Amino acid sequence: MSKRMQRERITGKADGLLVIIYVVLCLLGWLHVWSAAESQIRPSPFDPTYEPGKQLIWMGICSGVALVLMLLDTKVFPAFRSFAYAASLGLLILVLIIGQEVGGNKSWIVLGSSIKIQPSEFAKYATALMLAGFMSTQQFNPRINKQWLWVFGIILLPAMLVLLEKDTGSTLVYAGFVLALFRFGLNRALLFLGILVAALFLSSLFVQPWLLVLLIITVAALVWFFVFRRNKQSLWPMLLITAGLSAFTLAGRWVFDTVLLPHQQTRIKVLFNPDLDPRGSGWNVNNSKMALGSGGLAGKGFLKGSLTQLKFVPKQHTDFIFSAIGEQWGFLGTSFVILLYLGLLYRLVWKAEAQRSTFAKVFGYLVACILFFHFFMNVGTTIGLAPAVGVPLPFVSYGGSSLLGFTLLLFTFIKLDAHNKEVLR
Amino acid sequence: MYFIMFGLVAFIFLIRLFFLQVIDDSYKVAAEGYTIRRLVDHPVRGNILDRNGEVLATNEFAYDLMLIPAEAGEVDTFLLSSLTGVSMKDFRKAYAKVESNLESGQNHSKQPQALVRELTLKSMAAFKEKMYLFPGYFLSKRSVRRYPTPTAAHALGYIREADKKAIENNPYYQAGDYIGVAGIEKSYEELLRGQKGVRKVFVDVRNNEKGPFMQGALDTASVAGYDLTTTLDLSLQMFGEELMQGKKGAIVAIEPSTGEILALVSAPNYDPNWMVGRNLRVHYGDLIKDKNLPMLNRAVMDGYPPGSIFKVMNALVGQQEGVIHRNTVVPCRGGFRLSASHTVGCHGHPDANLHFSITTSCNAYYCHVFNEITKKYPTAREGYSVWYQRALKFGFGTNLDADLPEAKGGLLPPPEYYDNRYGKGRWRGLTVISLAIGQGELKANALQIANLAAIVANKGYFITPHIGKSVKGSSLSQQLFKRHETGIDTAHFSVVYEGMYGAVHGAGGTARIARVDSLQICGKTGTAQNPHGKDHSVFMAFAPMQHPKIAIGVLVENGGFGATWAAPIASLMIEQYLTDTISRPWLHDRIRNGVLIDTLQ
Repeated sequence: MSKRMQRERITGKADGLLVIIYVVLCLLGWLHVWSAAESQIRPSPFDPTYEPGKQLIWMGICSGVALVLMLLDTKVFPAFRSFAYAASLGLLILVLIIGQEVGGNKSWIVLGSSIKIQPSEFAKYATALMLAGFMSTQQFNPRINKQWLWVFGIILLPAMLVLLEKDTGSTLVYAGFVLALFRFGLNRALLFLGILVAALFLSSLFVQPWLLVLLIITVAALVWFFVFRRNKQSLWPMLLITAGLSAFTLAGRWVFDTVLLPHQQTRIKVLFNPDLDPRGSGWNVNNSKMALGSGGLAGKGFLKGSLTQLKFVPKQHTDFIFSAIGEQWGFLGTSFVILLYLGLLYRLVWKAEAQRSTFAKVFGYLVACILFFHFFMNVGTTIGLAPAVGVPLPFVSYGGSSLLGFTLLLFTFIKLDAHNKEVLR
Repeated sequence: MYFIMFGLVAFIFLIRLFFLQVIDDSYKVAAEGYTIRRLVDHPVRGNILDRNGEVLATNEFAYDLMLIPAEAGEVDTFLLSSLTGVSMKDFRKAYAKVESNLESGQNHSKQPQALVRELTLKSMAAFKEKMYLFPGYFLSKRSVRRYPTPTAAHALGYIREADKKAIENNPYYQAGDYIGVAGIEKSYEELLRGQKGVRKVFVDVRNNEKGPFMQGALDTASVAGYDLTTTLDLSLQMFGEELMQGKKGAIVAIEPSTGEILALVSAPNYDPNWMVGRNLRVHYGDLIKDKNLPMLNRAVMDGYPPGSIFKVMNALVGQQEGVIHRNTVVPCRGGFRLSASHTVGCHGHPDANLHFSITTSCNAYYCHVFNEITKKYPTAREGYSVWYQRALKFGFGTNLDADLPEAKGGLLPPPEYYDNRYGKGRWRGLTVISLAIGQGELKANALQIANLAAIVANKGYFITPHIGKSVKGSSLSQQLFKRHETGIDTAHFSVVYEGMYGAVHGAGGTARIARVDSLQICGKTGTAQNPHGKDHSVFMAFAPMQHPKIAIGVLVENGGFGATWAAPIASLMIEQYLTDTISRPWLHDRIRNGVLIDTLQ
């Protein structure tokens, strides 16, 4: 093999744009973890006993992992899927037994004195591999409903285990998997229904349920009258859906009060009224908004964010890293990051669509949707548009496990994409 | 579909961020001037109780007006003065103190300092309402020492704001902290003070607390101090203070079997509440200017020559040294002849044996004893050294290791003292013969005298006199309960018992005024010579003769003979403690109303 071919095998056909965005996001993350690190005196960004230094070490590890991924044969990934999936399920069960609680979640395995691993971050990768593998097999037919039961099973199994760890954020992220499925034949009415259910659930907390029920029936009647009147068969499903939604609306309040834990209830309530609990759940979001808001158009300058320096926003180096960027770089900084993400997501979908192998295509969409969901929940929380469930901003938030998990996802796809041309149709 | 979804979310986020960061100014204003304030959570100081659980010292809550110099802007001091009810003059003084603390480096400008201590509830409320006008000012709740029965001031001691030296010596203390600087408050400081807590909070530009720093992860809660039970008996202590009013002097009462100090009276005294907070300013000047020295703890100071009570010790040492025994008779005939021209005088009484020498307090007898001890050894110095070592074991010349920080040893001159004074080999037993009868260079205090009574009561040993009894949740040093042997055989005590009993109850006794028929009191009078004025009245006693429960030492300055003031006081104290009654109201009235000093107004 010539040197040129060797080089090509590793980097040659890798998508430059994706790699560049990845590197930029990682460096941004490292610098802002440094600016917001939870220690009294600012350490050197290279000091491995503090968060920024640790993050740098993890970044080094991730570069190594990315390089190894590029050296692997693409056939490894589908072949590896069952093993990875089983192993990650095993780790998720293990963490329930020997895991340590950090910040209310029992989702960490502690190795030695300083290394903590969060198996749920790797479970996303394994689940994506498993799902892509299953959906790219010959037997899979999106028109057979039973097949979709398998698909949901693959997603729900790890999601349930993560939920048992009381890690709401990581559980919700599995909804990102479902988002990708619509590209592969999942009925889009489900998406509409899902959004409708969520909207009804939230409105039932503020509006009298019987008013909502009245609204549902009116809308259903209008829809049926104008859209489905000629189609006699649609009457029963229509009635069924209307009845179900009405029942759900009436039960929504009850579900909220009895199923959700008190701290989860406040997280949702605070979303609509941050002043409700300014020292508790609202505290993080309020302070995060204040840090962002005080940044103005151009920010206060790097390492000059007074609220960031005061450690005013709790968990700012992890879940609220976006507010540190916002205070120091202002609207210009935040819009740059958002556009960077948009670029990443667009490029991923673009590339995924161009994949010749179903495995790579499904995997690409999954990667895009998982990253999107994290981006949506994390930034949404920081700016007060989504409940504070605690998910990291991929590549930027402090945390070795999540960085490694996202690196695996991204570079596996980059590797698959690099060999797209070799795939025979 | 995905492009639209991703684009829509990004668009919504950008719009939201644009409003949040560019359009809306409210966050910029709110975020200005956010600072972290370090609030010290002062622990509640432990209570001090008497032996029966009566409260001697406890705490009340008070609010201090605090100031952070770095955050304080120009404020309306006139308004501040009218809100808090503190005069402008006092405010200027307080500001000057803050300034000087900053200049001396004792405080840095971000550290809160107390501007006004103990605001009244009314002014506290008034200030709180207008607090937003005073950035950098805030209220701090703290507990203030209170002594519900204004008694035992000298034993309890007092607490004080830690000064620069205390802060330098111990990193625990910071400006504004209180520290025990006298009495029990000092000796048990570490148990009583508890553990400070620290809270860090965000404060906005309008001086409102906005919540915990780092979710309170670095905060620590204060831990209240331990409650200390003392050995004092509140009712006996108060009774003693009543008896000593209008006089200068001291009473110490000890339970012989345990060394527990039942009462520790020093007169004149003061209300311990005067040493707290704002009272201090009012009273402290007067207290330190008073020529009667009310702040001096006379019960444990260096003291005076103890006088004749010292004969009791010499009777014991003489027997142990074998120079006398219970039947040794020494002719008195008006005194002990030192030379043709010098005599240690004595009052007229028949020739005395050992028992009667105590009862009648014969000077000649003890000059003989002392002289014989010094003559028993090859040189007078050797003989004196033996005597000195024995006297040391009785606790003279030592502070007895008592848990009273002010305790002094008085003076028991070591042989070197006389070597320096007269030259080596140039002094004899007769040179220092006044030690035989408790005069001369000797100095002893009421605690040492009471302890001597306890040694006699115990027939040969004493337990370290102490005032700390127990601590709930912790323990006291075993040093406090240590037994000290004097090296005198128990057999030698019976004659001393008889002599001391005779002094109170027998014919020719010097302290018959102390007699209580129902109680067997053993006592010994003393008269301390005072070159500056009237002699000091001294008395020591223990009772009852069988199984003594109380040993007492009383010193009344300028009280004349021991029998005049000290003996009746000791007698009344013993009766009060043992029977809880006063059978001689006339004596009680006479003592209580007796005035030997000009009392201060």
